[in-house]
Amino acid sequence: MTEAASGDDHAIALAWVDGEHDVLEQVYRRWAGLVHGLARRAVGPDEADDVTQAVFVSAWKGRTTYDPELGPLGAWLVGITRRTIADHLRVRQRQTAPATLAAQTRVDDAWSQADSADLLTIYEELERIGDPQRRIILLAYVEDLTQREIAERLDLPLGTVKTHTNRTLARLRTLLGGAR
Amino acid sequence: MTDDRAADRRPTDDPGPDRVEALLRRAGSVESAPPDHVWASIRAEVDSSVPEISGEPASLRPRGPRPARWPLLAAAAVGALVAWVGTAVLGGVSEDEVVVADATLEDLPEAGAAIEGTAEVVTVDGERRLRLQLAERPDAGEGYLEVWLLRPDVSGMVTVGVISGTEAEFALPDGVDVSEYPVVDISREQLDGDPTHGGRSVVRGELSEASAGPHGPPPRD
Repeated sequence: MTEAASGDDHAIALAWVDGEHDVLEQVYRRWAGLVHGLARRAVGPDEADDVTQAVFVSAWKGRTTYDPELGPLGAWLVGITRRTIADHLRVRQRQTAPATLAAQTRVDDAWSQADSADLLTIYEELERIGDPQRRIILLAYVEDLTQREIAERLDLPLGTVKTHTNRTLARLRTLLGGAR
Repeated sequence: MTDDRAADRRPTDDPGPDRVEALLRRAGSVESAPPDHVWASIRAEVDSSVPEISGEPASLRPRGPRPARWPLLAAAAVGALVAWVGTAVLGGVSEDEVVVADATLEDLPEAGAAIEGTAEVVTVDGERRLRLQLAERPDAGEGYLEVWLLRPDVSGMVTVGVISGTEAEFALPDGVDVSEYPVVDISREQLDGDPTHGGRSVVRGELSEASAGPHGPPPRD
């Protein structure tokens, strides 16, 4: 437990596999922000709460199906988030009641289903790739830092930052372009 | 979403060179902490898939956080890790007492101390009895210790009685199928008039069906 308390993702994943009794809370503290944030963009703030709840409940119930060999726990959780959101949207689409339309208008109108699905794909892959690539991409495109600033921030050679940026972007573009 | 196609001007099969960047920029900082009630609901929902013995429906909308239930869930998860040792014997036993199932009991993290013990279901003159022996008495706090038989998934439970020392023997109600409720559980209960499991399990072990085997306990004489 002391290992997992250090906040190290790998240690949390091991504790998860072992079914340690307070690991759900640790996992929640570590990834709820990401899950909730992604859900917000896909279904709006109110339903994001429900999606977040559903994600962690199904993750807990299905925890024995997580195989650390197949990827990091964060990627697995974002995968569950993606499927939960898809289910959620399917249910919503089946309902054509005005109430549903009203709920929809609360979603940031710019986020179409296709956009939020792609965003989920991107974040799932970033969780899979891990750091420093994930950090580099987020610093570049979310925090809008220059490659040089990122290199300084992460104490990495500029060339490494550029290489990681280009390779990771290429990988993400391929993902969005293919298999859809 | 009726306006999907209109809003999504760029077809997804042509992501364009900068779609990744554009989406990341537009999303901005994605992380958003869910409100506190979300965690409370997760706990409650995970717990409500556990025991609903008090007549409460297994509701998806709990009335609020029910922290008391959480340790029971935790205990269920831990209980699954306990190694079951016991096997019992059918042959070579005395005529008036037969061990039909037994279990080793192990403490759960909530107990705070290592307490081990054994549980046996014996038939004495045709009556089934659950016999418990603990290495030491678990801390009952300000309440008392109650003995239960649980389903392995904690979806149901039967109360057996109160244990006050390190040894106890209870008559098992007729009709209680030990193979359906094989988990022996001792919980810490408050003197609050609530007859349901308080969610604080301190010792637990699973009875295994009686079957003669090389690792079984010696025949009882």
